[in-house]
Amino acid sequence: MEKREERLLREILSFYKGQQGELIPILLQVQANFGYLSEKARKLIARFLSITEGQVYSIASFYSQFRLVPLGKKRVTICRGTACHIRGAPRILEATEKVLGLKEGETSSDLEYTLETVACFGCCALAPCIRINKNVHGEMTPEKVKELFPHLK
Amino acid sequence: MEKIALTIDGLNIVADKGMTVLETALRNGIYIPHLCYHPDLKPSGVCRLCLVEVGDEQLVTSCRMKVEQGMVIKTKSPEVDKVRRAIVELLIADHHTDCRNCPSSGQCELQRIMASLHISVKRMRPLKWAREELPRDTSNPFFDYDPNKCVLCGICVQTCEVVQGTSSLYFVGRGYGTKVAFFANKSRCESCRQCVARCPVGALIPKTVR
Amino acid sequence: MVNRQRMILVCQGTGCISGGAEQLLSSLKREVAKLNLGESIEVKRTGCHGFCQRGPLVVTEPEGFFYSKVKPDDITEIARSQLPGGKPVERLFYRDPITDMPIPYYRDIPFYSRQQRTVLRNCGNIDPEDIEDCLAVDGYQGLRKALHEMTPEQIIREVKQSGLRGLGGAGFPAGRKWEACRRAPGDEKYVICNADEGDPGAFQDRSIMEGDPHSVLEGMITAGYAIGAKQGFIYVRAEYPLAVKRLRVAISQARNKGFLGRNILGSGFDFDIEIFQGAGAFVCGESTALVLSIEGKRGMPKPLPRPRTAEVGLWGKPTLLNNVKTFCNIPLIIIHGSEWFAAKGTERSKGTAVFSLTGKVVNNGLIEVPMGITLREIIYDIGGGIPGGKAFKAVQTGGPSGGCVPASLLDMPVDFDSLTAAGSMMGSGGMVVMDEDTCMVDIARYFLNFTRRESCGQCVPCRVGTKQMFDILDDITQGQGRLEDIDLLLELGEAVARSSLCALGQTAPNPVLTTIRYFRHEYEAHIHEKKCPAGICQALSSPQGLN
Repeated sequence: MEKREERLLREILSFYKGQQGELIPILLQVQANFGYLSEKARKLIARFLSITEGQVYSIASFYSQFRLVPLGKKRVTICRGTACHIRGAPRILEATEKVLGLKEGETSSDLEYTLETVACFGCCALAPCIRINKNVHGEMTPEKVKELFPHLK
Repeated sequence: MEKIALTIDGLNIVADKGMTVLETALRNGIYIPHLCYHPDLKPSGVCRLCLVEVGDEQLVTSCRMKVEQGMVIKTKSPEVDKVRRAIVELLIADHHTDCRNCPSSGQCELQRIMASLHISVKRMRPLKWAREELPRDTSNPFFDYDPNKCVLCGICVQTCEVVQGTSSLYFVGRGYGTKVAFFANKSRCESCRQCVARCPVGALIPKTVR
Repeated sequence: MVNRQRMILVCQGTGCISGGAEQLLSSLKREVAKLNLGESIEVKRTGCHGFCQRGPLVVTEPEGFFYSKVKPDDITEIARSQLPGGKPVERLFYRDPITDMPIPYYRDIPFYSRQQRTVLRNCGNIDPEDIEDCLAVDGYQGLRKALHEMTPEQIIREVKQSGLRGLGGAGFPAGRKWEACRRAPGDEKYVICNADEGDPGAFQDRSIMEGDPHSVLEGMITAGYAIGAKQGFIYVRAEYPLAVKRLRVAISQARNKGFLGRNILGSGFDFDIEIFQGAGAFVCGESTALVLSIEGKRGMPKPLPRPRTAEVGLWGKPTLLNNVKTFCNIPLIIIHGSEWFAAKGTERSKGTAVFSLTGKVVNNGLIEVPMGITLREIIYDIGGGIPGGKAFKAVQTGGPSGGCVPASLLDMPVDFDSLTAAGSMMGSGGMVVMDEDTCMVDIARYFLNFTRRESCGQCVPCRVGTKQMFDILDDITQGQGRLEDIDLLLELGEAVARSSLCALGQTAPNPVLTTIRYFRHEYEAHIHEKKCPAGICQALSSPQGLN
């Protein structure tokens, strides 16, 4: 971890008191700033909260939001909620896997894209949905998936 | 000490107040299958094998149930047997069954439970066997961890916490992917080997034994 | 806030925003300013109207014209329609899907006219980021009455008498929980709002937090006063960033107005609320797991026998945990009284139910109906039936804990007990409609895949049982089904349900058990004939040769 990053991390931690109840908010905030929870970051967080690194890892690995390895710049998330499923989410996932050349959970080697699925993001009325970073695209079809990544043909 | 009178499998038993049903049964020579219970640890109630029938067909984990005056407990009943057998079979289908080459053979709680319920691998339900062989964790200098044999009873994790005050064994991951992992930083592990000694199956094996 | 006569309401719910509604709002404001209408017309952001499928939605008041699927190009026309003598933009009216006739007014659209919106009373009508707007529609009047005119005991009696049942899924009587928490010894107590809406196919809690956050706060503060707590938490799913943002705004505005903080409304009662964001674990909807998660631990439910959360909860203190919708009902019960509330719904299920109506149904969206309405009324009258002339097959309620209810039960009343008797459950309010093209084995497989991923992993039956059931279902959909698999699924399902440690595992087999109960022939077709009647399972042949 570079100096600058370490400074940012310490700055984030300075807003907290150092109690274990703050672990999940800290992990979320650190991940929001760094994209993932690096080993160095986990070490610093553990020290700050007076818990072990094992504890931090154990807890972080329980929650599906947390990433322990770097993610791509563009996070492509396919909803596999019930409404999306019966309106064809499996085919949307298949099409996206093909376009990106990635399987669910994978990140491209150039750290450009990460393909993930989520249990539901609550846009069921627009099913099936796909999200790229913060933008939700509803009523998807395999053809529309291709249009979302025009430069990847 | 206040005494509590209760009935287990038709026998009239007197227990000390504050004891659990499982402790009372074991002390009176009544075997209730169990994997995650250890007398020195807090009962976690996760293996679900010690379920017994209390009163009107309600199933409860006997390791966490305190004795009460006039309780009527059945440790065996068609209902209990059905559920318990299914749980054991689920565990077996998910576990290496090459007992002959396992250093824990003969001292294995899972073997003991299978024998007590007369379960044989050949006559089990047609469950799907675990297909994936998971790699062993050999990062600890004193013992190896074999996730293919682990039943995730949590005894090692709790023991490490209680015996050492601080822990180097943790649960990681979630759901079916849960494992026990060893965090070796700064040699927190004092090689007390209590975790290995208390493992009810052959998941934690000393390095010297091969 | 200026009280202007005319308003243009632009929905800013997550659904409409994904259709570009943020841009619509800003361009409309610009357009109105350009036309010099800024003095007489207010362009207002609102929360979710519920009819997400037709979004982005724009409503003009006082006429109540309802415009659907609004695009940036339509903005000028909508703004001009507000000029003196302007005409409504007819081409944007909602059209009846059957007759194709335009329906200009919000109130006439069947999707809305058959509903009874009480919990959703403010969603879509007020600006969720402006407390003045909320105060104008009686916001915090219930709290005022509770603090100034009622004792905590009177509040609890009122909630008990209303018959309100917890709307998070299990349906436990809310008043009894409040009473247990009030009676539990200790000075330090907590109120937690469970907004960890994890059921796939459900978004009603999200919409309420986005559209009417103050009602949630008001219910929580009232609860805090009733049970004797000073601190509240809202546990929000990580997937709901907009809801978190709106709640933050609402909390800070409520503090400024003296509804939160010290000496609330001069009553001497102190209470504050913090937001806690979840980190992605469905099992944290379970009360003990949720509490562990706030404490910064792995969210693994605690086994029975154990004290209830109302007695030993967060940091070992008595904790009142209710769902978003449960809290939203509180201000109404306080203002209008328990009798008013108890008059709605059925004998044992009082009030209304909020559902996310989705899937193979013409009108998708968020609805609120009185308890006891039939499934048929919801799906056909409000939902507009099945699209494309297809046949209805089943409706799924209760998410991964619920079941699939077949056509033969369409006239069943929707309430806690009837749904449970049918093998499903009320759950948190997901309602997914399935048509003839939905394969029920695939649906069972889908749900077991979900519970398998979301099981916390500590107890054997749930961890290994759901995985085993998934493997069996997966093989059936791949054409590898064996004759004994149906019985095996039933046996495993019963064992998992009876022996799992928490409600997640205890209810996980429901989707399998109900699909076998009502659609056994589909399983048999997959296993015996290696056919998927709906043509979904790609490894199998379909009767119409769809593959």
